[in-house]
Order: sequence, then C-alpha cells, then structure tokens
Amino acid sequence: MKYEKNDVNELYKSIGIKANSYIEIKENEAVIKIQRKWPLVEQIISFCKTPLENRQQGGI
Amino acid sequence: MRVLCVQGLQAGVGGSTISANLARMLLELNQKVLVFDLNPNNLLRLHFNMDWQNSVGWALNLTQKKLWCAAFECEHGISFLPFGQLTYQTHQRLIVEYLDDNKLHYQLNSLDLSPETWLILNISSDINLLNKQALALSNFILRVFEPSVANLSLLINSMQSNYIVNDAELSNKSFFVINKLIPHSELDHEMTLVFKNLLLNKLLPINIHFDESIKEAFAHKTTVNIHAPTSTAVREFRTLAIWLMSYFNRLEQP
Amino acid sequence: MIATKKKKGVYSPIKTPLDVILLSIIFQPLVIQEWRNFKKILFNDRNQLFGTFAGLFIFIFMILFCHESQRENAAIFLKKCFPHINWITLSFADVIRFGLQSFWLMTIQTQTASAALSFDLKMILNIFNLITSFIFLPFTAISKGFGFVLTKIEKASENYQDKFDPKYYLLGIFFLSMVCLTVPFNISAQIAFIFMLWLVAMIARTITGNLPKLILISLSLTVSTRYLWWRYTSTLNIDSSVDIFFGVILICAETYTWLILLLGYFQTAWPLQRKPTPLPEDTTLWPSIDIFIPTYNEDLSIIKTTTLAALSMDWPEYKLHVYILDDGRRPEFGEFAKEVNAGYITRDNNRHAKAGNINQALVKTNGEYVAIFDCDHIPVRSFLQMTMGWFLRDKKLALIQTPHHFYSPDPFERNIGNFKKTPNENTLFYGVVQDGNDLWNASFFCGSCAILHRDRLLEVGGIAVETVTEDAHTALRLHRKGYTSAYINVVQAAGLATETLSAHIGQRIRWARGMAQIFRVDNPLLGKGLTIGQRLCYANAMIHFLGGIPRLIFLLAPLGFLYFHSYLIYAPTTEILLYALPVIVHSSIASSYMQGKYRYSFWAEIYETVLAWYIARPTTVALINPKIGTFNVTAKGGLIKDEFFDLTISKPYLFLIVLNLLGIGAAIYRYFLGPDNEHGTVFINFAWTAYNLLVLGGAISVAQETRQVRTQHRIEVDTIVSIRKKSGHLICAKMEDYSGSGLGLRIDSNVLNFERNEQVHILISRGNREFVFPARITNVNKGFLGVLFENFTKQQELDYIQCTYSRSDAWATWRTDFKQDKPLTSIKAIIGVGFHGYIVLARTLPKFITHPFLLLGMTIAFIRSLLPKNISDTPTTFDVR
Repeated sequence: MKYEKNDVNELYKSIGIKANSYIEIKENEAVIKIQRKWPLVEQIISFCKTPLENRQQGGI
Repeated sequence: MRVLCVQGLQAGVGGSTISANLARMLLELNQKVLVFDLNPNNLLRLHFNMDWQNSVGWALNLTQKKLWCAAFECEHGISFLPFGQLTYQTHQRLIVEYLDDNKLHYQLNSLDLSPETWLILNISSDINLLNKQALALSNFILRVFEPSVANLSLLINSMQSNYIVNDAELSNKSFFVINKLIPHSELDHEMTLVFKNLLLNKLLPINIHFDESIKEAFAHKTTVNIHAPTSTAVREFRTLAIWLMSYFNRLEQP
Repeated sequence: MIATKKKKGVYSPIKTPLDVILLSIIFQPLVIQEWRNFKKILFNDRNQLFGTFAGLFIFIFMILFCHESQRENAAIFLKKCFPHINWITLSFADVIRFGLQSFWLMTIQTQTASAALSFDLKMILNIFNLITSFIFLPFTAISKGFGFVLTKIEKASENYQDKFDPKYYLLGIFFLSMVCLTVPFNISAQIAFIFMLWLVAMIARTITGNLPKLILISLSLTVSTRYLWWRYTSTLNIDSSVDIFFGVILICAETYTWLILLLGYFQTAWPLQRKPTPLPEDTTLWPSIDIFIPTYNEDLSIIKTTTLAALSMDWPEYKLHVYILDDGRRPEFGEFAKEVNAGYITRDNNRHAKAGNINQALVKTNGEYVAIFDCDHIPVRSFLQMTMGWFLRDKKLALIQTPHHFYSPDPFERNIGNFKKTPNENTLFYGVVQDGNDLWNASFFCGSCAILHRDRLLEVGGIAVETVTEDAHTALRLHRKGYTSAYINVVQAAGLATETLSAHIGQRIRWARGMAQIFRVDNPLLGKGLTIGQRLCYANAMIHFLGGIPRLIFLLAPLGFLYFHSYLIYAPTTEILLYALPVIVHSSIASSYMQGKYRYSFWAEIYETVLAWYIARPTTVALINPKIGTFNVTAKGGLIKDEFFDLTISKPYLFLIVLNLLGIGAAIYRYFLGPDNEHGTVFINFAWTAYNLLVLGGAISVAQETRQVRTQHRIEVDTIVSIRKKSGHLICAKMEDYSGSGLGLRIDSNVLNFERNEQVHILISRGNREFVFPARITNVNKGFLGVLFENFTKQQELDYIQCTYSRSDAWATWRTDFKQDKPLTSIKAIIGVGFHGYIVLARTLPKFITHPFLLLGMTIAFIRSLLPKNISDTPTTFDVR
C-alpha cells in the first residue's frame, strides 16, 4: 500500500469525504513541549505572539 | 518568464547551493533554465564546473565597460551568468557608478527570454540596491534558512522590521525552505516543527537535509544529481522543483 | 552458455540444420536470417524435430500472409497468445492446445487478442467481435433500458412526498406472492417460469443501485420459498416410514437454511454506511475518554505496541487516559505502564475473565467514555476523532463499533495461501452485516475497537457476565434500554488473527456457545424494549451459529438414498432440478451482487463446513442448558515451527469423507446394477456427494498447517525513506515492509556500498514530521536491504509506532484492493482448494492407495493444460512452465 505524506488526507480520501476537521493534537502538544524545553526558543516565541497573530491575519 | 529569486536568511545557509541544484533539477525535468548570480561571493559558478581562476562575470564586465552579458557560460545545457570576481574597490565602483534603480530590469529585458524559461536569481542575504531590484522583479522568492535557534531569532527579528515583511507584495510571494537539516539532531527536528507551526503554509513541504553528498558534489565542481544520483538530496531537489513547477502552473492559469 | 558455443564455433563449423537447408532451397538468404531470428526467440535456438517443423510451418504461413514489418513481432506474439505452450519442447498435445486456444481467441477473447495482435487478422477478429456483440445486442439493450427505467424510478421514489397506506400495498404484495409461491406448475410451465426469472436476474445484476438489489433479493426469495412450499406439499413420502424419517430431517435443515437466507437478506439489504461526523473545533468541548487494554497472558511486546499506539491518539492529553488491565498481575507490565505514563489496574481474582476485568476497571476510573481494545488491536491515531463525533451528535448513543481488521493471515488464508487475494472470513461481517445492522439500529459490540458511554454501560450493569459472548449481550441490553448504537465502517485498528485452525475453531466455539446462551437466557425475540428490526438482526446473529447440525445433515443427506435407498425428496428428477437449481443460482447471484467485495461466492461453504462439526454440539448443549461450558481465551501471536497436518481437528471430516466416498461407491453400484428408472436420482445424489467431497476436501486443506516462523508479521507498504550512513551520506530508499523490529528496504541497485552489520539511521517521515531510528543492516541482496532496529529509546519506540502502525491511513486501502467477485473464478478457486485437500490427504496415505489418485490427478492436470488460457492474466515473463 502506498503511503502518501499526509496520512489523514489519505484516510479521508479513502472514505470519500473532504478533510477539513482533523486537528493535529499531538503535533500541537509537541510544539508547546518543545518550546518549553529550550529557554531561548520559549523567549523568542513568546515575544513573537503578536506578530504571529498579525501574520495569520495577513502576511509575513 | 518564471523569475525565481533565492535568498538565504543569513550568509552560509546554502542559497547558492540550492540555486545551482534546483537549476540542474529543473533542467533534468526538461525545463529551460538560466541562472543569474547576483551574489558577490561568486560561488554559484563553481557548481557548474567553471575554472576557479576564471574571474569573468557580468559585474566585472560592467566595470570593464564590456558587454555585460558576454559572461554567458554554458555547461551541460545549463546557461548561467556568473557574477565575476571583483576586488573591494571594483565592487564599490560597481555600486556607485554602474548600478541604478532600473539596472536589473533593463538587464533582464535585454536578455529577451522565452516565457517558459526559468530565471533563477541568486542573491546575497543582505538588503542592497541590487537585491531590492531582484526581489521586486521576481515572481517567487525562496528564502533559505537552517532549522537553528539562531535562524529562528533572525526570522522573528525580520518579522518585526524587514524589507520583505513590510512590503505586502513581497511577503505574499516569498516562501521559506529549510536547508541543512541535520538528520540525527533532535534539536533540528524540533525546530523544524516549531518553524512549521510558525510559518504554516509559507514553509515549503520539503526540507533539504544536511548531506555529505551535497558537499562532495560541490567539491567535485558539480551538482548532486550528477555526483550522487541515488542520494536523498536528489529526491529532495526533485520534489522541490516539481513543487515549484506546479506552483507556477497554478499561478499562470487564469 | 552462449559464450562457450561461440568459442566452439570458432574451431569447428556448425552443421547447417535441416530446416535451414530446406528453406534455402526456396527462399533468399534474407528470409533464412529471419527464420533464424524467429527460431531464436521461439525455441531459444534449440533444435527439436517436431517443434522445429511446426515452427517452420507457422513461419512459411507467416511469410505468405503477413507484411514484413509484422513478422518481426510474430514470435513474441505467439508466446503471448499461447502462454501454455512451451515452444522449446513441443509435443502432440500442443497441437490440441494450439487449436483450442486459437478458437478461444477468435471467439471469446477477441478484444485482448486483437490488442495483442498487430497482424491484419485484426480485421477478421473485429468481424467476430461484431458478430458476438450482435448476438448479445438484445440483452445489452434490455439491460441498458432497464437500468435507465430503474434509475428513474429510484429518483422518483426519492421525491415521493404523498402519504400512502402501506396496508393495501402489503396486502396486494402478499396476495401476488402467494400466487407466485404456491401455484403448482407442470414441467414446461416451470421451465418457462424459471427461465424468465433467470433472465430478469441476469439483467438486474448488470445494473448498480438499490432497486436492482431488491429485485434480486425478491427473485431469490421467490424461488426459494416456492421451492420450500413445493417440498412441504408434494415431496414427502408419507407411505414409507424410512423415507419420512430422513425426509423430515432434511426438510427441517432446509427450512433452517431458508430462514437464514431470509433473515440474511433482511439484515444486509440496505447497509447504512455511516460516515464519520466532525467534532467541534474547540477541543475543550471534547469529552474525556479512558482506554482499556485488557490482557491476561499475552506477551509484553504485544501490549507495548498497543499501549503506545493508544497513547499516540490525537486527543487532548489531559482528556485521554490509557489503562492496562492486567489479569495476569505481572510486575513488568506495571513497570512498563509507569514508564509510559499509562494506568495499570489489576484485581485479586479473575472472575468472569475479560468482562469482569473491564467491570472492575469501570469502577476505578472516571472518564465519560470508555474505549476498549483487545491487547493486540493497535489503534491508529485518528481513531477517536473518526468516531467520537457521533456521540456528540446522537444524544442517545451508547456504543460505537469499528471493524476488526487483521494484518496477519488467519488459518484459512495462511493454509490455503490466499492472504490478501480473497476477502477473508470476517470481511463479510464487518463489511456488510454490521453496516446492515446499523440501519436497524442493531449494530452490536464486538469486544474490541469500540467506544462505550460509561454511564449508560453502568446503567445496564457494566459488561454482561452471564454468557461467554459478553460483547453482544451487553449491546443487546443497551438496546433494550432504548439506547442506540453506531457502526463506522472505517478500519481504525488492526490486530493479529488467530494463529492455528484449532485456535480459530476454539474461538468460534466460544462465539457459537455464547450466542446460543443469549438466545436462551435473554432471547432477542422476546422481552421488552427492542424494535422488530433489532429483534430480527439479533435473532439472525444467534440463529446463524446454530447452523452446525443442518450443515452436517446436508453433508450426509445424499447418503440416505445411496445407502438406504430412501427417497428423501420424493419427486421426479427433472422436477427436483427445476425447483432446486434456481434456488442455488438465484441466491448466489443475489449474494454475489450484495457482498461482491466482501465475500467471494461459495467460500462460505468452506468456512461453515470447517466449523459445522465443532459448533454443533456446544450450541445444542447451550440451548438445552446455557450454564454448562467453560470460557477459553483465544491465543494469539504464536509460531508454527514445522508444517504439520492437524489430524485431531480433521478427524470428523475424515470420517465424513470416508462415508461420502462409500456413497460414491454405492452410487456407482446403483447406477449399473439398480433399475433403469433410478438413474436420474442416482445421478443427482452422486453429484451432491461429489460436491460434499469437494467442500470436505477444502476443510482438510485448511487443516494442513503451513509453517510460520516469524514472530513479527511484516506489513507491506510502499513509502519513501532515507538511510543515513555513518559517513553522513543520505541514500534514498523505498520501504517495502515493516514489522515491530525491522524494515525491508529497496534501494537503487547501483548503490553497492552497504555491508552486513553496518550501523545506519533510517529517516521516516509522517505528515510534517520526520523521525530518525538507529538500525543495523542484517541482509543485503541486490538492491534489497533488511534492517533491524537497535537501541531504541522510549521516545523512539513511540515515534516508530506513530510512523507505522498508528498512521491514520495505515489500513485505509486494505479492503478496497479486492476486486468485485466473479462467481465462476470463485468456483474454480474452490475446486482447487478442495482438490488440494485430497493431495494433502494422499501424502499421509500409503503409496498403493494413492497411486490411482495420483494418476487421476495427473490426468486432470493434463486435461486442464489443454484448455485455453486467458492471455491478459498471464505475466509478461513467458517461460512459466
């Protein structure tokens, strides 16, 4: 069986519905854990909260 | 004409390497490619087997008052324009005397390339007159960085005040690609995830790994698809090239 | 070889072959060269008198009729179109093969033949094509028109708004069907009748949709009910006590089969095929879930994978708790649970086995929902997000079940060798039956891969402990309380199938006994709270397991006549055929149409025959006294070191085979020495016995346990990974299979610098992430690398499972890979399996007995080799023989 890169997309494709609702919870949790793990990363990311929101609204 | 601009987030992240390898890969995929080196370090040419002593280049030609595009070189079907080996003084003279606001625009027009040709502009990481022109003229900006904390810092800083970020048009067409991802480095993988989470769809879905084959290919004065065709790097560059091709195809469709 | 030949040629001149001399008399050297080329491809340059001259004949024919450019490919074409002819060693039988195959290509396989053909013959073939399509034109036209009308009706019925009183319709239908079923016909009328029905069925089966399905079902029900009516009214011989004795037994078995058919159609006529429902975007609204992994005596390695996969599920960490429920009370399990941050629950007794284990844990935990996984069922990470949406949507929902899927072959698949080629035994249940149940809100709990609402479960007293199939019983109780259940037919977990036939039978005995117990203790047809649909679905699930005795009756029925000269069906032969054959034909057309992808035709015969003897007694006992009988755990993950024939398990079948073989003897005796007017009856009974023998052969074939040496099953995949060598080079590779301990990788055959025992890292990516695993190369073989993982950290173990078993699409296309059933192909496969059983049997017998059988087998094999072959099915490498 061929494994494509995004497994959830493939799953949805196989049951014939559009993938839009899946939430990558473990991945989001991993990001938070990683940020906590490295002090410098945490500082940088916490600083960029606002620009991040900016970016989500428009552009980087 | 598909103008693709490759810029490193900082010097040494591998912009020239990516330009060269991408160009070769596009050629392998039956595309017409011209690589235009706008980076004064003049390294790109070495990927295409140009003699190290040969200092010819378009910038040098300009300063010597020759026809600038006489610097065309061709190797294995790749057309490229080396920058030329300039001394500090000549470089200063180039900036002051020969570069004006429309220089690059004029140059590209005079090349008279067919619409399906890829023009890859390899620029340095700093913001100068030439680079600004290159960024403005391109259809796609590929920004290269390493998945390091230092690069994260740079990236966040550039988000605060950066030439590209502040220009909506530039930032719309700019995308990021991770280079030199060290396979067995835990931090690198973790940072990749952080970057992905930060940049979302602005980060290309292809990461270029740190691979001995790429370094060796350069040492052999060639690109990796010729030096080590079975390496992972080749597949990564191929995926990158195909991604870009489909991106441009979508862009060009009304 | 060629090299040595050439060398010889330098020193001694090759003798010019006779055929070349003959050709050179007539033709020019150019043609001679062409002949040499032709010969080289076809005969590999070997000379053989007959073959060469046959080839020469074809060649001259070609020279006369074909254009030069077409001659180049002639030899290749011949090889392609006559795959069963070995041109190197031609024999006289090949002339027959050639003739038959040519006829076959020209009449039946014209399409493929003309595609393979670049001759002018194409034109001729096209004419043949035209003729065949002209003959079938009326049928195609009817089918097309019919399909058009049906789709119109289906559309119209969707928009049908007006109220109508079903009473009158039902009354009308009842009246009409009574006429259809009960009016006796004379033979010619019956022939006309069945022919018409058959025609309608043949047309209906070419159209897809629900209406054709209902048409097929009603046709099948019509003929089978008519058959039964006929049987009851006009085939029982009341005058003879022996006849009536056997006759009543047979008619009871037939009535049972009819009932199962009826209920089966009811159950599977309209599968609901429920799709997952999305969850709210705000994850704080998601409920909390406890995951139970009950275990008793399984290996830690099995539990490890399941636990890690359960922990990897995409659900908020603080709302997901995984518990290992260890009835074996093993300290290392507790330590492992602690390491990975899972709960560990034990108890001081093992009362009520798995059900008791879960009930105990229900008391000790407090999530809103409980998901239960057998310890070998590895869930994928999307399991909860695919299922939980329905709980939030349907407020009365108490249970969601997903399919059980097995990534290792079950004993049938392994011993017959059809793993992943034929849908296996449980595919039908999880592919069609549960989906059909779902329409009636009757899909039930299957013990694993399911989620239950805790409070509702506790309301019915937790998992039922009164019977040995606690799962179905629990679901029944939930339904009685008015709660609903759902079935989502998306494979979201996979496990190990039972290893041996005896273990499989043991498991089925338990199910059968349990179902019979429920039927006695808590009969779904009686009691409060169920809808009529639920009652019928549950009843069918239970009655289905009572099929042991009827099946044995069918296996012995023809012997009633052959041994005792008793007319079980007291009717003329032609009449029997005219009533019975349509039943078989229509039920197989209907089931093939309904279950095509999930169960191939006639395989049920083998599955059920194997079980018949073993479930006959326990179900009967359980029906009489439901309290007798013990619980046995299904063992999984074992090894079979040597191939062996499971004599103990096949003893009853050997006995039945002997009885049937004697029956064949009796049939021959009766044919030649009995009265002439009995020939028809003898023939029918003979055919029936032969069929029984075939099916019994299939059962024997399954009892031949093939070797199984791997502890870890390899799962085939196709994905790109990278290998990082110690030197820092990354090599691109294709992952072909994985198991818990290693991978099979395919690399470019130009990459040569891999050595055994080399330490490498494997880079596997999933979604946005990439993971690196340390490994050692254990096997290097021409572009194939076998690697074994080494020194995994805890995190790497988790990551590895996320990259493999718990990918959400890990089993997504597994079932869709099966093609639609072709009844004829299926019959062929069944015959093959049946014969194989006798070959297995023959190996264990002394030579003088087996010799005649061997001779018979060889004769059959020879005759088979004469038959034409499908050319599209044969591989492109030609020297198959």
